[in-house]
Amino acid sequence: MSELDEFKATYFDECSELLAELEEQFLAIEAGDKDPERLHAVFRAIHSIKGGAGAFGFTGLVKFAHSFETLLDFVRDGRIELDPKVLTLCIRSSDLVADFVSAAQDGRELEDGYGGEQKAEFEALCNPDGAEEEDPEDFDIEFTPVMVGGADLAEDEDVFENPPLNLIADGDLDAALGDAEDDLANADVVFAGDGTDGAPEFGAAADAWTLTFTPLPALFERANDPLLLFRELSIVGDSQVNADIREIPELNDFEPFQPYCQWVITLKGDDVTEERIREVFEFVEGDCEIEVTPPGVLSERQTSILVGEIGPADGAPAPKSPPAPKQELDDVVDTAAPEASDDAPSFADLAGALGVDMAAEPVPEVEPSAEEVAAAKAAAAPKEEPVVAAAPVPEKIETPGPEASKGPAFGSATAKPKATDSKPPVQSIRVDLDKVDRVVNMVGELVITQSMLTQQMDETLRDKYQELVRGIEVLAQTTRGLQDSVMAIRAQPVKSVFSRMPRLVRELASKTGKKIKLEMVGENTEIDKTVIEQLSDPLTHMIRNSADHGIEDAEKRASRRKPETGTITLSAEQAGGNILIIVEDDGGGINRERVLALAKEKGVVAPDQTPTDEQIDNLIFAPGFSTVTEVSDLSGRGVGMDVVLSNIKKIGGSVHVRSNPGRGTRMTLRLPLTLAVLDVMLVSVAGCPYVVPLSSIVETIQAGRAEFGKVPSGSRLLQIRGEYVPVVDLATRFAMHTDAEEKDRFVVLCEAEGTNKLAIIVDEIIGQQQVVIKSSEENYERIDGIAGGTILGDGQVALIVDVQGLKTSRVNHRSSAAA
Amino acid sequence: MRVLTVDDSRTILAMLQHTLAGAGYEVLQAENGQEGLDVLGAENVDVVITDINMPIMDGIEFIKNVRASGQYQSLPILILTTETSQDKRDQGRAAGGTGWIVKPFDPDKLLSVIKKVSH
Repeated sequence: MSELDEFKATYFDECSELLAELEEQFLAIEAGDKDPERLHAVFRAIHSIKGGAGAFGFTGLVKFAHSFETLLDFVRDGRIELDPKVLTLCIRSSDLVADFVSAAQDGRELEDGYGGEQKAEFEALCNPDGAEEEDPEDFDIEFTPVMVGGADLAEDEDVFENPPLNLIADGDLDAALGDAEDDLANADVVFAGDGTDGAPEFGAAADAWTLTFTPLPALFERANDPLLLFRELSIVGDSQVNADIREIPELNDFEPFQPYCQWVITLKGDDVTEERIREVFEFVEGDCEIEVTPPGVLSERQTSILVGEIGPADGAPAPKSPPAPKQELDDVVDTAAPEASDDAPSFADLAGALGVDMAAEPVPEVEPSAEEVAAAKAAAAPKEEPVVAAAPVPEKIETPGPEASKGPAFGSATAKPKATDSKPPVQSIRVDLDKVDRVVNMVGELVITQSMLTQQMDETLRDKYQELVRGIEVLAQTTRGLQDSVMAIRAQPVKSVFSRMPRLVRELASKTGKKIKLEMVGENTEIDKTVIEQLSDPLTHMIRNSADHGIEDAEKRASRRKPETGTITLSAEQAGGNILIIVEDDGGGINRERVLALAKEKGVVAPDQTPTDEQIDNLIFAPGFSTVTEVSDLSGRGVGMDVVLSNIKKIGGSVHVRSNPGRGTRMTLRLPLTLAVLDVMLVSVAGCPYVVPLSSIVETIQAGRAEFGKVPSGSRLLQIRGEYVPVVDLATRFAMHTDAEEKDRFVVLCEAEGTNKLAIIVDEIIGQQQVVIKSSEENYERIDGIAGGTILGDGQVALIVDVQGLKTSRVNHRSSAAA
Repeated sequence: MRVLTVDDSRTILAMLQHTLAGAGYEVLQAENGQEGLDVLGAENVDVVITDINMPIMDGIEFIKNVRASGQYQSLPILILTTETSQDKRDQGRAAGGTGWIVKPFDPDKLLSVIKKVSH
C-alpha cells in the first residue's frame, strides 16, 4: 500500500469519526442543548473533513464542505440564527458530506451539482445580497505585491506617520564603543554596487535590486530573524548585505526585542523579481519597513540611508567622530557612476560577524554629500510605508509563482479516484486505552478462573469427565492465546523512548564539555505502552547521571588510559517475563567513600553500619541523596535518582546499580512485560496465601535439607553452593505465628537484582499460577515488603511479596556475601 | 531538528509526520494546544507547526501561551491554515505566529517554509 493510500485510510477513518461526531452534536442541539461548544465541534469537524479532502483533491467534497463551513461560521458567530429550518438544513448537509466522503472512499464521482440545492441555500443565507463567494479551491494566499509607483515625495509625506529612525550615530555612541567599533559605527554608507560604469542616475547599481529593510519590534516578537531573511535572499540571488549599526546601544541598554539595525541589501541575479523578494519577506510584512527598488534606481530614502547622514536641517547632531569619507553627490547624481573606493570602511567584517553571506567581489561605495541628502531627507520626512521608487518599474515582472503550491498536494493531482486498481486500505480503529485496559483486566480474570478450574481437576474428576477435562485444556490454551493477543495491543517498541536520548546526550556533551557517544541496542524490544510512557523520565535521569557524574573529563580519562570519548550504552532486552533496560557508562564509577560518607551525614545510613559495596552503590537511589555538593546544571539537584527508583517501582519494576570503580557504572532497570498479569508462585505462611513473582525465584529447597548458618548479630544465613544468602522468614517478617515444623517448611531462593540473593522461608509451596495485580497503594496504602495484592480463583486475597523491598528493608542487617 | 506538530486531524498529523520525518526532522505530535503546551514543557523543540481550529485549546490561545511563557519567545511557530480569509492568519500572527503554511500543503513548500524560519 502506498503512502498516499495510507494517508487516505487514515483520512477516511477520521472522517467516519467526525461524521459520527457531527451526528451526535446535531442530535444534542436538536434536543435543545444550547452549549456553544457543540457548534464549535461541528464546525471543527467539517473543517477537518475539508482540510483532508483538499490534500487528496476530492474537489466536490472540498467545495461542498467549504460552503457548509461558511454557513456554520455564520451560525456560530450568531450572524445566522440556528432556527429549526437552518438546523434541518445542517443535518441534511451532514448527510451529504457523508455521501461525498463515501463516494470519495469508493472512488466514485457524484453527479455534477450534487448538493447544489443545499449550497444554494447556504448562499442565500450567508449572502442574501448575492455577492460573490470566494472560490474554495483557492487555498493559496494571493500574493499582493505592494507596488512601487511614482516617487512623488510630496504625496508620500502624508502616508508616513512614524518618523524614520534616526540614522545619525549619537555622540554617546563613541564613548560606548571602542575604536574598532567606531570605525564600524561611522561607516555609514554602504552601498554595495558592482562598480560597473554607466549605472543609471542616483548611483544605483545597474543590475542589482536594492532593498532597505528596517525591522520593527513585532518582527522579533514573532520569532522572525533578519539573518534568516538574508539567508533566504541569498537563495534568490547574489546578495550583499550591509548593516547600519549605529543605533546599537551599550550592552546595558540593549533590549533583545528592540530593532537597532537597518540594512541595505543589493541583490543580483537573473531570477530576481520584486515578487520573489517580497516573498522572502512574506512573513514579516507589516513587521518591518521594506523598500525595494529595481536595478538602476535608488529611492530618496535609500539614498539617505546610504549616505547615512542627515544634515542640520533635521536638527540632528552631526556625528562627532570622523565621518566616513565623503564623495560629492555629483559623483552619484550627475555622473551617475558610483566610484569605487578601496579605503572606505567595509562592512564585510560586520556582515561576516552577523553570519551574512557576502559576495566575494570588492565593494565599491557611494557617498552622496551630506547637504544633498539632508534636503532629500527633509522632504521625505516621516513615513510609514515603504518609500516608492523614483524610477519606472521594470516591465518584466513575473507573476508570483509558488508553482508547486497550486493544486492538491501529495500527488493527488493525478490521483483520480478509481476503486478498481487500488487495494482496500488497511482498516484500523482508534480505541480508548481505557477500553483496552478493561479487556486486559477481564482477560486477566479469565486466566485466573481458568487456572482455578484446572486446579479443581483432581484425579477422580479427570477419569470421570474426560471430555470436560479436554475442554478445559483447550480453554487454557485459548485463554493463553487471547492473553498474548491482548497484551500485543498494548506493546510498543522501546524505540519511541530511546530515540529521544541521542539528542539528550549531545546536549549533555556540549554542556559538560565532555566527549560522549551513545550506543543503543535492542530498540525494537517491545514493552507495555504504560511502561514505555513511564520510562522517559527515569532514563533521562540515568543518562544525565552517567554523563554528569559517570564519564570523566578528558584529562582524567587520558590518565586512566581510556579513549577520549566516553561511551554510554543504552540497551533493552527481554529476559523471561521481564524487560531489562540497561544504562552503562565507561566512566569513573561510583565514589563509594564519598557516597557512604554522605549517606551517613544525611542519615540515610546509620553511623555504625558497614554496608556492602553493592549496597553503597544502590544508595544513590535513596531519597534526597546526591553526591554533588554543589547543584550542577545537569543533574545533582538531589532529586533525580530517587525519582528513578520511585517511577520504576510504580510500574512494578526495580533498579539495580553495579559500579566498577575507575571502569564504569551499570544501571539496570528490570521492568515487567505487562502491568496487568504476573506469573507467580503461590505459597502459604501461617495459613495465609502469598504469592512470589516467578521471575525473581531461582529455586526452592526444603528447609530440612538446607544448611543454615548464623552471624553474631543473630541473622540467619543460607549456605548454598559456597554462597551465603541472607534469610527472611516471612512469618517473622510479617509478625505471624506458624505451627509448621521447621523441617517441613520451604526456602524460596530469590534473586531480584544483580547477584544479591535473598532466601525467603515459607510454610508451604502451593503451585504456580498467573494473577492479576491489584495495587495496594491504589486500594489501601503502600506496605513495606508487599508489592500489591491479587484475588485468587477461590476468592481469597493473596499478597504479592516484594522481594526487592524485603531486601532493602533489611539493609541494617549486616549481610556478608562470600562471593 | 525537532518539529512539534499540533493538529486535531490525524490525517494532517500523519502527512506532516511523513513529510517531515522523510526530510530528517524529528517529529513530535500533539492533538490540541493544551497537549502542545505539555509537550513544550517536557521537550526541546526547534519549530512548531500548529493548526488553528482545535478543541480544548485552539491555535491562537496556544501561540499566546507559548509566547507568554518567556522561555519560547524566539521559537518559530508556523500556523497551519486552510482559511482563505486573512482572519485566522492575522489573529495567529497577532498572537505571535512567525509564519504560516496553507493547507493542503505541498511537501516541498512545507519544507522550504520551515527552513525559512529556522536556523
